[in-house]
Amino acid sequence: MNYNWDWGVLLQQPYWGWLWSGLGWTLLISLGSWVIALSVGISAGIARCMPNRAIQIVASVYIEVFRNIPPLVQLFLWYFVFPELLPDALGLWIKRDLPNPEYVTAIVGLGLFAGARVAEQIRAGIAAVGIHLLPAALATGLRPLQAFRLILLPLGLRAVFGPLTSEFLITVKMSSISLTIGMLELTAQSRHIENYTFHGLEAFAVATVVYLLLGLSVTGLMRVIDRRFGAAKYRRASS
Amino acid sequence: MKQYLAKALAAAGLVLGFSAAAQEVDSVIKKLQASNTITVGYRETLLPTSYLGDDKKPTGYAIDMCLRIIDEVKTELKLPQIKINYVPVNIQNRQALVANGTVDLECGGTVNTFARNKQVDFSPVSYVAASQMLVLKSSRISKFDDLNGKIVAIATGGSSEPELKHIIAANKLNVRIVNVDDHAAGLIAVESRRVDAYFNDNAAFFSLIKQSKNPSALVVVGPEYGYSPQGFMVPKNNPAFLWIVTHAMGKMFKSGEAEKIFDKWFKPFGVQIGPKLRAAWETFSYPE
Amino acid sequence: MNDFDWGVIARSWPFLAEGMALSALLVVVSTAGGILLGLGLALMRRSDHAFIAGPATVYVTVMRSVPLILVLFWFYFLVPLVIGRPVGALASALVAFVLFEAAFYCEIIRAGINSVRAGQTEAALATGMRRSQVMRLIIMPQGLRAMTPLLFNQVIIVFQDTSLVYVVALRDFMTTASVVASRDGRPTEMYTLVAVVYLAICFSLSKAIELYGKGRAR
Repeated sequence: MNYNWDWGVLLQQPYWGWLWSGLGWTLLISLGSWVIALSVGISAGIARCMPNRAIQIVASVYIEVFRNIPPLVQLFLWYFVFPELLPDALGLWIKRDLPNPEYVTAIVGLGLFAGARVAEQIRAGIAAVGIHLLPAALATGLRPLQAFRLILLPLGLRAVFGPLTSEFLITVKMSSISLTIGMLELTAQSRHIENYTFHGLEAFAVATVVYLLLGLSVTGLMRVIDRRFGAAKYRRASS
Repeated sequence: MKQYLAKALAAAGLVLGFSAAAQEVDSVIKKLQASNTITVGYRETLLPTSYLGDDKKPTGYAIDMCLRIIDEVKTELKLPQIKINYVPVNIQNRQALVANGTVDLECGGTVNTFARNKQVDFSPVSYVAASQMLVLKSSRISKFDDLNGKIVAIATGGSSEPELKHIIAANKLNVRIVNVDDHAAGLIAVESRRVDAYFNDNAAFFSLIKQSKNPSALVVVGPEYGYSPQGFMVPKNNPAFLWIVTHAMGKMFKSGEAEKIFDKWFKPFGVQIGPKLRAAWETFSYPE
Repeated sequence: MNDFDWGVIARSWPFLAEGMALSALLVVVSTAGGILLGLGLALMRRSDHAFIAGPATVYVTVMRSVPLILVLFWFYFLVPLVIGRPVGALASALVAFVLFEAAFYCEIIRAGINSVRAGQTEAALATGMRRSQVMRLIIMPQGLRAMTPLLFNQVIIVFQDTSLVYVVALRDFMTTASVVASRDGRPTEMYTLVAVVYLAICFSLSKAIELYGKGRAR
């Protein structure tokens, strides 16, 4: 064991700046892919519960395909394969002229992976509050989509608030795989510092603490929100 | 048991942030005299400098140089035989393995930098790399000015990254930089036209062009930028061993043997000894 | 790249099979090691002593909040330093996987144990059984039934996770395919193949687990 610890290195420029910018990208990638994951996931989750058989099948295929391929492979499909399947001009546009192609690829890839997992949670949430509410809601004259939007989804979302928080934290961690397509997020920057200073362990330690704090604060925040507005309040009110 | 205890203590020391005590002086020579064995680090795919040949044995320019150095070690220490223990190293671990004394002589293409000198010592210059651009011939890029408005890939963490930023600032270019994870990704980026050029240490281009599915479409262009003198790493605190290495290389530089080895490996790639490498070699060609 | 060359798959098949064997090794070792260590952690977390439960809780929380890639980087550098000689990417990755997945197995095992009603422990203790006996004879057999589908699910996740050894250039199935992709200039064909293979394996495994769960419920 022969390692010269030097924590001061991390406080020097540019390394300190690298860590900050890495954290910034981690947040941007996580939030960007979460927006996609929520919109796609909620739609697919509802579609999965729709009475229409064709819609159900489309949603199931999406969920199964995107859950069962490792996220790194999905990212590479979007980065290396997808543009090559398109007409040349469009493929080149995606690779070169799209604003920040690597970022967009990262959030689409991660977002669609997380979306499949979110869809499963939403489906479970709707099942938990009772899909049997649907006929009752329809009987009041609501159309199916209205019934989902006004009754089942709000109740279902509350029920799965906790699992969705975990899914978001999984997305934050998953954002690190975008380093393979050149995004310099937090994990990438800590390895970057290793390359320049050979003080990788210090940089990894800082990144570890940042991820830990990020996780703990999101969990804490969600617990507060849940107590105020979520299922916890709902449970208390109904008992 | 004692060994495990030592390891456990070492692990505890690591966690607490202590570093192990400085190693004793001339540990490499003491080990050589005791065991007749030298541990040589080699690279698996750094063509033509240090790589595994078709027979799965380490070979290349740096390995040839190191074999001469080991011959000199035999003479100086009056050892009839030295057993060479080859250990593969890579960009991530090469430095740590030399610093902790696992590897006695790293025979690859490591650039001698100030930061590395804090942890290891270097032999005289074996090769001078410079940064250039790998482009598609059809791109018609030939100099840095041609990069304006273009997309350029760099390997994350390489020394070419700050260099490219200097070039961009000095020539007031408008360039978008794309980070790639390794050289292979750089090649794919160029071939799929995701980027217009891959800016890197030109030592890495030889194997890339060779592995390309269409080598004739690629070309290395641009002025050689920067001065990246490569050498062989040895553990710190080994003055006698470092002296033998330096002396052995000095003799090769002077006798023309070094040039012969260089031509054997680099001529096939159309590379000749440049003025910077020749100057570096002359510095070490002391009179006997 | 309109010309697809699927022959590249046939040509590189032996190489890819070696990669798949390494992926399988990673899954087997990290599952076996992860469950064993996870069981220990779960029992520690159930302890009444704060100095036994505390470290286990901290360990599990930290491991569950950091990305696997970061853990792989950690041990890639740490393991050779601790051992004092180069050990190669495989040994480091195996250590990283076992230590990382143990945290997840721990939580699954803990949930399984907790699913058994507390009254049973008290009742069993009242019959004069020792605590270790209660755990082994009463709680574990029932807990195991509850946790089995989750444990199998985690194996699928571990299998997907193994693809991340790409970042330390270890030649698993994914990385082998990527080596061929850049060696032969065929990323499109290779990554499509990788996706199809993972999809086929993971989908059939998860369907099998679902059927197994349904069969047992009946």
